[in-house]
Amino acid sequence: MKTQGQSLKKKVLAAFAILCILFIGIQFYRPEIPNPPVVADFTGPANVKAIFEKSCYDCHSNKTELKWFDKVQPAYTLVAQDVKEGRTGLNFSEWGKLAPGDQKAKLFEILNQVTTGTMPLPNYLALHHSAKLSKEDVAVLQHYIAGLMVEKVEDTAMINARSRQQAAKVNKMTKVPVTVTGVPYVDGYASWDIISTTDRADNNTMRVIYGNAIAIKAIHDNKINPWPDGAVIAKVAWDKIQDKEGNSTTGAFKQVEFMIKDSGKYAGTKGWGWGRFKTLNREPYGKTTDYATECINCHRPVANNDFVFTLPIKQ
Amino acid sequence: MLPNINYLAIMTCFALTLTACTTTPDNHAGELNAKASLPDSFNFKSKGLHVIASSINKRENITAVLYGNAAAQKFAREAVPADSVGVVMTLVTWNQEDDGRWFGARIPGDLLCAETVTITGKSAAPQIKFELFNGALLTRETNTDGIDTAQRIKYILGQKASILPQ
Ligand code: HEC
Ligand code: HEC
Repeated sequence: MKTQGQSLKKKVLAAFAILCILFIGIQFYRPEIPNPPVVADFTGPANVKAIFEKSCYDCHSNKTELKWFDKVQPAYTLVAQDVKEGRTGLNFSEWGKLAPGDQKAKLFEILNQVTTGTMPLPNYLALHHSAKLSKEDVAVLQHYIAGLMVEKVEDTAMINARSRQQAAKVNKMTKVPVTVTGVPYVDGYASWDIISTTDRADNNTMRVIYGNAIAIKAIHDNKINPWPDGAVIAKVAWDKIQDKEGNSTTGAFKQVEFMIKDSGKYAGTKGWGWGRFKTLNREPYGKTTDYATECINCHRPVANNDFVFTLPIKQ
Repeated sequence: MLPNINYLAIMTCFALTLTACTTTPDNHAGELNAKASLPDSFNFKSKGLHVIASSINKRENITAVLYGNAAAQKFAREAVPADSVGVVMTLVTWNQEDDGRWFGARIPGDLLCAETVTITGKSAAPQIKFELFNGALLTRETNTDGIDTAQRIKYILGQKASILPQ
């Protein structure tokens, strides 16, 4: 008994020693987190900027300021990765490079990520308590961003764009367009049943969301989390043309987006093939495969709902 | 062995506190938009109609979708419609409400009504039938006296198809 106990103790000690050596060893592995110059910093109101600086700049700017415990491995590797990925999708130090429309869209995305608890990353908040947004902080963001919603009434540019499209020759599809990631355009969605509509005051568009037969069956069977393989959701966006009486109808066709469920084929992108095709010419969006990350990141607040925002209407 | 178990327990507690700290608001994952859904009794699917257009009325805080058969699709696509006979259209109207999943969006809320226009007969003398179904159960309204039926028919038939690449 005694010798057995001693040898066990030795083994535990040895294991502990190895762990210690490994722990010290990995401290020498230091992926770089460079802070490149600030090109065009965020220019919104000071109180809004202060919130972003406090809660987001560590990962979403070129002014990353790590605490000592962020610099201890293996945490450091994770932080470096977060900063790299965070800056790719949103970099406040390069804010001025975004077109005004894209800035506005980003702000709505930001607000929605904050109110849903998607951002700042929960594991970051667990250690960086000061980065947590207070109720007042959220109210400040909400107030500022709600103020950016500008309603367009009898907008001539939109009315003309609709006329142009109505007069345009029917553009028959000769071959199926695909995105850079190989996600195909799915023809025939116009005769699918719809699952909802939305009125987007943040960008003056109206949308109709369609589901293919498999998606509609899933809704009827109430099995939509996760959606079954073969389900396809299509979302079409048009300009929203509003008259003086407050009636809105659809204007120019802007784009159609698809989410194609195939948990095997699209395992790398949360089980969905993501495709966006713009204008009546069905032009695939996204020059590099990164575009799908953009889709996924904005859909992250509904990660617990198989990345789908729409609350389906059964009909 | 004991220290090992302790260590595990501590790590588990730590991991639990990490997740417990982040309270995300309930986003009703996996649910349907029940109050906006059409009642089974309306049997809408069997009518085989497809979407023609969608619309919003801000003052009344409502949103609607116009559906129709093939003749209705054609009718709504033509600048000056040739023939209305054979047209079957249904306009479904909902209250609008804020989208709990996206600040800045409004989505259909309570189902308000469905109106159908059916045109039969001869091109020279078309017969136009108007029907109204009210409330969450889309109960057929037998008395349409209080409604300007002619105006509703004109409004529904006057809608233009949304533009799509096809
Ligand atoms: C610890 C690092 C970290 C912090 C702090 C952080 N984020 Fe993020 N953020 C990320 C990462 C990493 C991603 C990429 C998606 C993912 O992995 O979840 C991301 C993605 C995003 C996106 C989507 C960008 C895209 O690709 O379209 C938005 C918007 C965003 N964050 C907003 C914020 C806001 C606002 C704050 C502060 C209130 C914040 N984040 C704080 C790391 C962070
Ligand atoms: C800025 C945020 C954002 C980005 C980026 C984004 N989406 Fe979405 N998406 C939404 C929102 C919000 C909805 C809910 C419907 C609505 O109001 O438009 C939605 C809905 C959808 C739907 C209908 C199913 C659902 O989730 O409700 C599809 C399909 C879709 N998006 C595809 C895409 C594709 C493909 C991309 C990338 C090319 C993309 N989205 C990028 C915000 C975004």
